[in-house]
Amino acid sequence: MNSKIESRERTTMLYGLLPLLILSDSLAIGIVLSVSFLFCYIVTTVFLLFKKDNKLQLRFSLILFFIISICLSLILSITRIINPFLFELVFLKVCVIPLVPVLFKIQFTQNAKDHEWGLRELLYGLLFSFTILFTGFLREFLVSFSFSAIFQSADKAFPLFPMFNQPAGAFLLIGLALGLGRYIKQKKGKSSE
Amino acid sequence: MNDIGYSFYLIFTSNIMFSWGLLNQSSTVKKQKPNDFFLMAFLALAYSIGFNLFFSAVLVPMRLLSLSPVLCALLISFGFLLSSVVHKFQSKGKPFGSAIDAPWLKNSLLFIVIALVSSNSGSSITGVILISASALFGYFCSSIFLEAIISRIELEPISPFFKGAPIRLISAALIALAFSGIDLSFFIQLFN
Repeated sequence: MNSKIESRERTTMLYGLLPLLILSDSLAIGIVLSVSFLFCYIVTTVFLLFKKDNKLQLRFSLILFFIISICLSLILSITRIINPFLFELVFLKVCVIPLVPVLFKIQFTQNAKDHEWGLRELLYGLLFSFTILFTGFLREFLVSFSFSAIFQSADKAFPLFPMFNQPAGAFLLIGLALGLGRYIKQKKGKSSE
Repeated sequence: MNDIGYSFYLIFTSNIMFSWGLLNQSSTVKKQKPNDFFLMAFLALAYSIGFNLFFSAVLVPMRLLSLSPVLCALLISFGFLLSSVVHKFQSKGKPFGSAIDAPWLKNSLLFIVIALVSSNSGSSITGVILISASALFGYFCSSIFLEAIISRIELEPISPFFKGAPIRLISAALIALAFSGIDLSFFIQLFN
């Protein structure tokens, strides 16, 4: 029963990633957003491990918020050194990360915060950041039938489904993926019976 | 896509998450109060202009664009504190900071930050006003138009795999596609 509740909670948290999934429209942007998100998720988890009670405190949230923002500035500086063109594309998008509902949601958790919980959260963080990365890859691939991790236009690219470059494409992709996931889950359940 | 488009779609997305209960696992559609709408409109515009001025006067000349998340954090923290003070006066007896949990604040937080993010360094005051207006339009679309669509969808025979969140997201995709023409070029053509 508990695992069912937790699985439902995690699905809900995936919906909280929607703003980032909308922004992640290519593999290069997906890489920066997913790495930044993972970093923020780990920082939030580590801070929550040191917090004794489960009460939501404004002061704690604000301190965490500032620390996350400073971490993001650091990631942006590194991105600027590696690829200045990519930096120009992502520096405003990255500002959304501290306010992604997922980071707020884990602050409301009532679970006992021990090392086991920390490791589990780390795995979920990896899953969430992989979702951002994969969405970026899939959208770029569906748009141009090619992908590039360093944000350079591929010569052999041709337009396939330009719609997926738009936020409408992201909504459609997520909706279809959810439907497909449910279908596979039910098929799996039937075959195990 | 330009800033106007992004601000529209991000507001649209954030409002879908909360209004459609995707984040709260609730199937009920919460109606937005007109007061909240005007308050958010005012905050979005004020914050967009404030951010834009600070951005073009401090961050760009000093080449400190990497610090934009910290600037966002500063402004949002100010918004947090202001909202908490207002909430404390409105609901006597509740502890300071409980406003974080209030649904309208969750909405407005996303709303404000997206308005901030969409304010680009090159935007003029007119551009900022247009960006805020498009964000407001996104808010309006998701809270009013989509509410009607959801109530209509409930009556349709939909495959069980697509019931709930998937069909909501697909219908949001169709609405977003319909509004994808609303960007800077749309406004330029409109005024020419």
